[in-house]
Amino acid sequence: MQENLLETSILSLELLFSFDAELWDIIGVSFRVSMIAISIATLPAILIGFALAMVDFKGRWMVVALFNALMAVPTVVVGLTLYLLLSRSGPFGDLHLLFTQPAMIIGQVALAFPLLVCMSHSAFQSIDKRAWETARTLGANCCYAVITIMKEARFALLASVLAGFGRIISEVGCSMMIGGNIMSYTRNIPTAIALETSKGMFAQGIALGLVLLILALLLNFTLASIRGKGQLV
Amino acid sequence: MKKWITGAVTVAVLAASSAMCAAEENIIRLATTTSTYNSGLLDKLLPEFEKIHKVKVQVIAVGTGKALRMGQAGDVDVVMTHAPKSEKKFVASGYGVNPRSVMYNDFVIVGPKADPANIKGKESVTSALEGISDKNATFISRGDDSGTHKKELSLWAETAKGKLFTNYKEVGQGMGKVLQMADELEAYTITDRGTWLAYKSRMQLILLVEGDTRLFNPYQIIQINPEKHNGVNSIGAKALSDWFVSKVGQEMINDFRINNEALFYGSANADVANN
Amino acid sequence: MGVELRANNLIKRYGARELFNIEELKVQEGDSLHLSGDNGAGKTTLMKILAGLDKPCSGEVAVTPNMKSKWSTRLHPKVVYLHQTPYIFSGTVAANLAYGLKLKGLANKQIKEKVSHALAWARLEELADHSAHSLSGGEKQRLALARAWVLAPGLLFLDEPTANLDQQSVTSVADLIDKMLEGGAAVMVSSHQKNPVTELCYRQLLLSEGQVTEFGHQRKVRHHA
Repeated sequence: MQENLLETSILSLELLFSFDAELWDIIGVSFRVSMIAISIATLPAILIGFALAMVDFKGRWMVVALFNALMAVPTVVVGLTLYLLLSRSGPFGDLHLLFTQPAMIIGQVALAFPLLVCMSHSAFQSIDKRAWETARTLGANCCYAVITIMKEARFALLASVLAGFGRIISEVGCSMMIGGNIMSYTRNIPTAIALETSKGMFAQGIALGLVLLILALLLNFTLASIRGKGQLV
Repeated sequence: MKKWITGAVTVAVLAASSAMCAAEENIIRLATTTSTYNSGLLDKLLPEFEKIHKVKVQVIAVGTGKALRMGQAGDVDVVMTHAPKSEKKFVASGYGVNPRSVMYNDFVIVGPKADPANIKGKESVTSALEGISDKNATFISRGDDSGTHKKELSLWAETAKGKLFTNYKEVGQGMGKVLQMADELEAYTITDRGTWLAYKSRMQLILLVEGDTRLFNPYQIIQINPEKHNGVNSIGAKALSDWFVSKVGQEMINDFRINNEALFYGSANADVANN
Repeated sequence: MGVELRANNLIKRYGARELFNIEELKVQEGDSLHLSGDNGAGKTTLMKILAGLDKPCSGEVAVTPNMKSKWSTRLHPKVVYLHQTPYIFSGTVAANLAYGLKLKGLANKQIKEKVSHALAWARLEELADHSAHSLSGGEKQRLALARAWVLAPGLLFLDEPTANLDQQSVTSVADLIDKMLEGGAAVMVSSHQKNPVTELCYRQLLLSEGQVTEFGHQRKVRHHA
């Protein structure tokens, strides 16, 4: 039963394309949780990014620096903090959220948020102040002017959303800590890979790794092609 | 100039690799289970052994399944695990040699104080598990192919209906983490006594079932067959194995205490693994 | 559609430095003004303040008739400011022209009609479906003028509209501005030198050392067709 990379990889492909129920269950959990998390985080984060780029207020640089710092916080630290908050003995213990999908979503929102703020901030910064003034003088109210600016920055904003999604769908520390890796419920791709590896079951680990790799390729190709088009328009 | 660099690099690589080879001889790699490692037993025993033999023992703490796989791949020199069936197969396939019974401890069932399944004090572990599944109480399973997980599965297999109830949750994590999760979710779980003693003071869980002979947990130490892989430190492995079953080693195991409670019982003279 | 703008005691400071302090400035229906002054004198800032895009440190700008929206007390729907280099939104030329019209909540049919008028007005018909970013500098300036014209503004602020344009573009931009004046709009053009566009203006203002002085007032008789 000598295991080697090739055999394991073939086995992993078989698992993937035979639609192994357990494997696709894990993939489903991953996508569901991360999609919900990114859709919750995106709008408020982009609005904050917008405010930081366009509105001049005291201490703005401090807020920007804060979000930049938060971006660098390791996922396990975010996980630990949330663990302490959500634990039965913690301040939000009564909500019984620990080791549930909502807890994972909270964790992933917390992870994606600073990244989205920072990337959308720089996306808006690259938009000319004239865009705002032109929209306003042509009769746009503040709300619509914001939408106009978002439209102008759409490629960069989309890039930040994709980057945020990439970060949370491949994140293991926080999901493991506050999700608990419960089968069919909070077991997602990264925690499953961690588990399978610790069990020495590499085929399933590689199969899941392949899914992440394909996803990463797709995201980046999409991004690159959008950017390419963006330059022409 | 180029030649000079190539030469320098070659010398450096040779020097480094020879240094590493020299170091290899003084290193014994032991793969063992997380439950053993977490108990702190090895932290007490190994320094003694290292002092006498002037070697360094590197402990790799993983689940039993992985420990045996590492042994099979020749990534370690010696394994100490607690899954008799897998160990038997491991030796029979020729990956391991000289399996020896080292010690045993036992498993216990812990759960919430409220004890919704009303299993406190039951003498039969199977009837306790049946109580849990009948009430559909939350039960956390290691689910990580570890020795403890295998033990748990074999116990469920002895019950009438098995583990098919909706609140049976496989979490695929280490023992300590499983205890924490059981504590948070007010769930039942099976744990080795060592981890339980180490975590007990931080938990609201209480011990509910113990003492059934089926909850016995025998540990074996197995050397990796040097004929299967090059570079296995078989001399060191043998020395470590010998030391564990020696009078000194066995006494140290028996004397090991957590919160004034004995955890492991030396079994080198009574072959517990095969009963 | 007459719009009248009145500014009183406008002061703009950057830190301790006072950029300008303008006691009174009045722009009436049909006015055409040339605001001259050296680079850095504050022409752009003054025009942005008058157009409601920037805030003065003190003083006020009042536009009658009062059409304050609930969104802004400074911006007036009949007053439009055009940048020296216009900002063109991504999308087609037609979409740029429709931008302000959509905000007014007009029906699609009306918008289409007005857009095609504007295209004809600025002679951009052939470029209607082109990406607006692909236009030349002169075409962009014409597009920006048409984008404002289509909203039927009462007062336009044009910041250096001919800078960076070649001679031919300058002429066509001047033609468009002339047409706007003919339509009855008031226009203020900033420029640090004379050019065909400033030739159209009969009021000459100079912003220098923080003061605005009016030094020429030659009523040009306009022929309304």
